[in-house]
Amino acid sequence: VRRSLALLACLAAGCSTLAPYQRPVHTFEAAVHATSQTLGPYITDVNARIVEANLYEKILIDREWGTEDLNGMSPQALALRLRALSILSSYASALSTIAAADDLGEMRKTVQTLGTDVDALAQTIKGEPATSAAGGLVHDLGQPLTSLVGLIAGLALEHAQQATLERDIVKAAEPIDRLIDLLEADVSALMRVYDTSYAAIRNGTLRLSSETRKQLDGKDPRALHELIDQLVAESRKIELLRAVQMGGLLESMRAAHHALVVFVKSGKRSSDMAQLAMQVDGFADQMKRVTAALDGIKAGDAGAGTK
Amino acid sequence: MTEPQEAKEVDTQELADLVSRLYDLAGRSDVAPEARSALLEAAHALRGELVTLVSQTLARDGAAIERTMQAIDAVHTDLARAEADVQAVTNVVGSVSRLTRSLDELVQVAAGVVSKV
Repeated sequence: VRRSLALLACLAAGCSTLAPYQRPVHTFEAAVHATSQTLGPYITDVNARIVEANLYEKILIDREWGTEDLNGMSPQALALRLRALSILSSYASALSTIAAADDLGEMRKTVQTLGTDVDALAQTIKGEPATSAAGGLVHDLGQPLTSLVGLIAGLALEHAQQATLERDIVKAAEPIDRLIDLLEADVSALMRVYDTSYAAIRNGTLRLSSETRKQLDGKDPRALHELIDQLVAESRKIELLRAVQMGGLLESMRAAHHALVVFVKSGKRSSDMAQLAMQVDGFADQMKRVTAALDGIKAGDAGAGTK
Repeated sequence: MTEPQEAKEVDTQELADLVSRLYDLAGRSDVAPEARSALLEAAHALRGELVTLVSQTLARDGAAIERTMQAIDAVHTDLARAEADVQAVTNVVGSVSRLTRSLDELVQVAAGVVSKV
């Protein structure tokens, strides 16, 4: 009760010391959330692209399809990366809610979400042997998880004020950086798998279209014209997808998070503020560029569908 | 004195670039059909290796890393004790020996990944 009263007193006073944080932390939260929303489907979809490429490859090399072609990566390993993304998103939301410091109920809800995410991750990996995909990651993430649980406890007990926000940013800095590092390496590796899968799919599509062309040549010019349109659209879509720089998103996220930590420890001069804003805005801008590129690809798909 | 062995990893970016270039070359109409088939076989094999390698990356050997981190902590602890009491210096030698073994194991794990390709 005393803490709640202290919070109310802080709110009544306006908590002006939090003001410099509000915009960058909110921008950071929005960009982290968007990154999670963007990368999540890619992680989920990677096995579908691997299988598709396997099937096309077998056509290209004139071999029978087999059940081995339907295998991808460990779903548990991929699910762990999704959980890790969810934790980053919850962490950013928790910071943003504290920075806003205008709704105790909302803050508690956000903290609970973060706690639920960490618990879910812990449940997912519980009992996994260390040599398995899930077990391997939990060893890597052991420290981050422990620290985050500590962060949750701290957030639940402390009222929102500048010292709390700064302490939690500093305390979470290392585990969050570690989490971003792990995800960045993993997402970059997955993007390489995507890239080569698309290369196989592109060649396979060209081969099948060539076969169709042989059947249509001299018989149905209109259908041949449509085939060319489809091939051009498919090829363009694949090239655009291969050009989207997903791995760079997490690099920008790390730079923005690092800038936040540096700002906390700085004298908070206008130059410190400008540096923080530059990094966080850079991250948000990159996220917007990726979103725009993906929206463009989706729009192309929709356009092709209405033809 | 031998140089410490450096833990190496396969550069999956290089591997992915090779696969893409193989597919680009195999897709060209000015390449002879037999050569295209051979390139496609090679691209198929290399892409399979890349998927395996990335799968292994996702399933990092966390246990070996964990053991090494514990061994580093143990050396720190034993060094601190030895600095306070020189009689405890033999413990440092033992913990450094365990750390060396953990690092060797870690290097072997990395080497295993390298030899896979």
